[in-house]
Amino acid sequence: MRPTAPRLALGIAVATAFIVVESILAILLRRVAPDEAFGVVYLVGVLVISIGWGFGLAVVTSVVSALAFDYFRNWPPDLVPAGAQNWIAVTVFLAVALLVNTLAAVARSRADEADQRRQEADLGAELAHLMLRSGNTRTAMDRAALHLAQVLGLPFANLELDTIASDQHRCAIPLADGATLLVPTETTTQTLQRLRERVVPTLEALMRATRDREEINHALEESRRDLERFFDLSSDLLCIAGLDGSYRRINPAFEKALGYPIQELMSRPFSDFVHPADRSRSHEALDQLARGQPVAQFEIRFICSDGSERWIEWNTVPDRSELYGAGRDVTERRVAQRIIKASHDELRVLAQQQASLRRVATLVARGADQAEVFAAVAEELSRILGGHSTALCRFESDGGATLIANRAEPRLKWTPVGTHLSLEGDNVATKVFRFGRAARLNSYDNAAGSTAALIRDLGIRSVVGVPIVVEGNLWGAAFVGSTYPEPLPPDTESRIADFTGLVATAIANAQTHAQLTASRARIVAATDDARRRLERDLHDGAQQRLVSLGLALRSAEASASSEPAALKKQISDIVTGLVDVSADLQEISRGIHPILSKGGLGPALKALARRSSVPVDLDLDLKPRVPESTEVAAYYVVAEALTNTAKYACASEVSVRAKTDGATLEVSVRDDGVGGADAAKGSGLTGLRDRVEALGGRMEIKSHPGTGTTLIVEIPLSPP
Amino acid sequence: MTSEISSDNHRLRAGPAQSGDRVRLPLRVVLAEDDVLLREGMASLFTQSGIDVVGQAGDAVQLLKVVRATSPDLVVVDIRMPPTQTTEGLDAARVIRDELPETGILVLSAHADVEQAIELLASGHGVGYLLKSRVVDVEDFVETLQRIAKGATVVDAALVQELVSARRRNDPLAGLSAREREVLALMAEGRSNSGIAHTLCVAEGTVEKHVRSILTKLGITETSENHRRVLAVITFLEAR
Repeated sequence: MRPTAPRLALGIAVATAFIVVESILAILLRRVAPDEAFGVVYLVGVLVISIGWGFGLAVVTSVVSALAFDYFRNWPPDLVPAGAQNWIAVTVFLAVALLVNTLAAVARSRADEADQRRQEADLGAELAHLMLRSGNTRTAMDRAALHLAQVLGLPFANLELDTIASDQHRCAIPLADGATLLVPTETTTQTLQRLRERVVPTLEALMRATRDREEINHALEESRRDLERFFDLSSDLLCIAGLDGSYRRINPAFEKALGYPIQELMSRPFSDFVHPADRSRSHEALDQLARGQPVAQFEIRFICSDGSERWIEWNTVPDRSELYGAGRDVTERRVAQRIIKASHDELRVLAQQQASLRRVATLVARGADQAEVFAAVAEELSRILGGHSTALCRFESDGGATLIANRAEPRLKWTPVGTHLSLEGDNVATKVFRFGRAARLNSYDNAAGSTAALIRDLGIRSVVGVPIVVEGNLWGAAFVGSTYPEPLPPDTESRIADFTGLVATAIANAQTHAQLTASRARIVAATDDARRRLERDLHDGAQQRLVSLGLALRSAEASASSEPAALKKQISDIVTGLVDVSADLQEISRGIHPILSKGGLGPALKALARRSSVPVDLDLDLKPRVPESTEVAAYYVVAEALTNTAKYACASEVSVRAKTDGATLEVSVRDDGVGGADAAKGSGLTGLRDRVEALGGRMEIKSHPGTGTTLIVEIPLSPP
Repeated sequence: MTSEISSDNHRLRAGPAQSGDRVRLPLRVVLAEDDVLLREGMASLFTQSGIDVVGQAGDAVQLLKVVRATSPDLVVVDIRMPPTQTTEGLDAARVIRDELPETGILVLSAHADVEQAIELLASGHGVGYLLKSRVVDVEDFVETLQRIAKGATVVDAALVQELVSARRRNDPLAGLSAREREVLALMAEGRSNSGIAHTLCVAEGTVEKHVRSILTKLGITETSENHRRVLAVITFLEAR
């Protein structure tokens, strides 16, 4: 590695030249300033030779320079040096020259050392480059060995991974991990030392690094293969795309989901495959990702090769100029969701309708007031049909209709119940009235007639009407009106019809009930009349006759002669018999019809209580006076109850309460007897029930064995 | 079956004497009854019994006319008369009582009605309330007429019987002895203490003792007036 020394001859020539030039320079300088100090110029030549040609030639040059210096010091020259002074000068010069020589040698050796180090460093870098760049360890080692041989100027060098012993040609230098460096046996010791000390550690480190890198590469390769497998296997759509809008890489799931071959997908911008309606959304997402902002999940439609649409849900992350996307086909999920939602909606509507119907049906079943049922129907119809205005009307015999219930959409004017509607011109009510079936009108803009004008004024645009048919007769109609421009849904008629059926039932029930009540009332009234007549006839007719007969007999008795006494006695007996008959008759007639004097029910009940064989606890609070028919009914209830108590109850006492409470007369008869009375069995109680219900009241009997019997009657004070 | 209360109030027509039989005879009576046959029968019977039937009426209007014209000692009136056949007789009696307070009134009823009886009794002395069938017992009936004319208050025994025999829970009458009940019933029929003593064949003092005991047990303040005593007893019986 040392630079080859310049040839010796050249050294001598150079030295000679320096000395000549120096001597001329010294002679010239002496003329300018006669001094011996100029001997120093000879040191330049010594220094140059020492650096360039080594210590030996430099020493020779030093001696020659010293002699030259001494010779030309006293120019013109004396051939023999003059005295000891000259020798001292020559000796000093020689010493200085030798010293300079030595210093130059040290400097040169340092420079050589540095050069070697630089060479080694270059070698290390070169080896690292060779070995780490190569994919294969073996190749890397061969290249490194070759380079090593070139740099060190060796005939050859080999690097082996095995442990190899030295032989006659090769000298083996063992490396760590069992490798061996083989160099020629003639390699200098110095070079071998350099190899061992400075090259081998570098080689070992490099080989370790190479091996490590290989392992890492291997592992990377493994993991990449794993990922590849997942990439290919995934049923989700996986892609790497450029921000320019094209795919860089896509997995086979794309092909499967969209039906296009991968080549086609890769060759076109991906927005080509996005549903036109979703392209702007897709672009927005892309822009956002391009700005490096994360995008939350988004769903867009893709058009498949067969023309169908698929919903893909994307999760995307940007990385520098690329996008990593994972898409999932959620078409089925969306379809399922839509189906579920639709079926939920349907169910909700159905449930709502059922609940509404049930509420109305409950009212009907309860026998609620018709006006209450109508109002409820108007409200429920509005509720289930989206809050539209609703109305119910009754067709009148005069050819018109009367509004019987309605419910206005919020902010719409409410038309009062009882409003008379004309059935002239164009309107749904007229249609229903004429044809007796459901009808609709989708615009009132040009409809004629006052009813149409009223509807138009309300702001209603379309109306659907359904007839209310009571026992085969067209009774009225139910309507739903909308303020929206679009017509009401096609199922509106059938949904209204569910309610009109209930309305018809309610009306029929009410009519039947009214007829029943009226007929019962007539029966009860007729019975009462008959009883009253009977009672009158007994009191004023038969009984009066008996009294008259009695008097006539008395008269006969008085006018009869005292003989025969037997006749008088007979007449007197007949009179006594008549009086008894009269008393019996009085007793009989008392039960036939209650004589409710002007004191009313109170005294009558007191009289009943007095005649009761079971002690009675009477509690009366009767104000104001109740209608006579109600009093009569209450009287019969108490009379019958007390009779039953006396006959069957084995009671020790009976409590009778009668009180008026605003609109109701409430009568209760409660005994402490054996109980077990059955209203169904006793015709007396059934008759009472008829009587009470004819007045719109109700009768309740509680009679469990052992707990006595309680009869409770409530009769409204204003008859139905 | 009727009884009387000797009244301290003397009828003008009875003259100054205080004895029970000193009513002036013949008794002048107006008869109101819509049944002609019965009315005639009664009139004939009354006449036969020495009563002067000074007028007859078939309804309340006629009755008032006749009474105003004749000022009888006593009016015998059927409670039910045309036009409504309800309480016309009672209403007419009230008018007569207002216009001619000294006229005795006997109301006849086809049935015993406590309310009617009480209303009548409230109108003062010289009144009676009897079942119509009582007329057949002519002697008794005529005697009753005379007692009413003298100012006695007469209530039909059937009514009293009903009131006294009525059974109530927590009956205040439960505290009375059997004898006291008997006395109470007679009191309610309008009998005086002496009349009760006579009926029960006991000394009048004994009756007085019973009466005091009854009134104490029932919480009724005894008054000196017989009529009031009857009324109080009846009202109590009805109201309990």
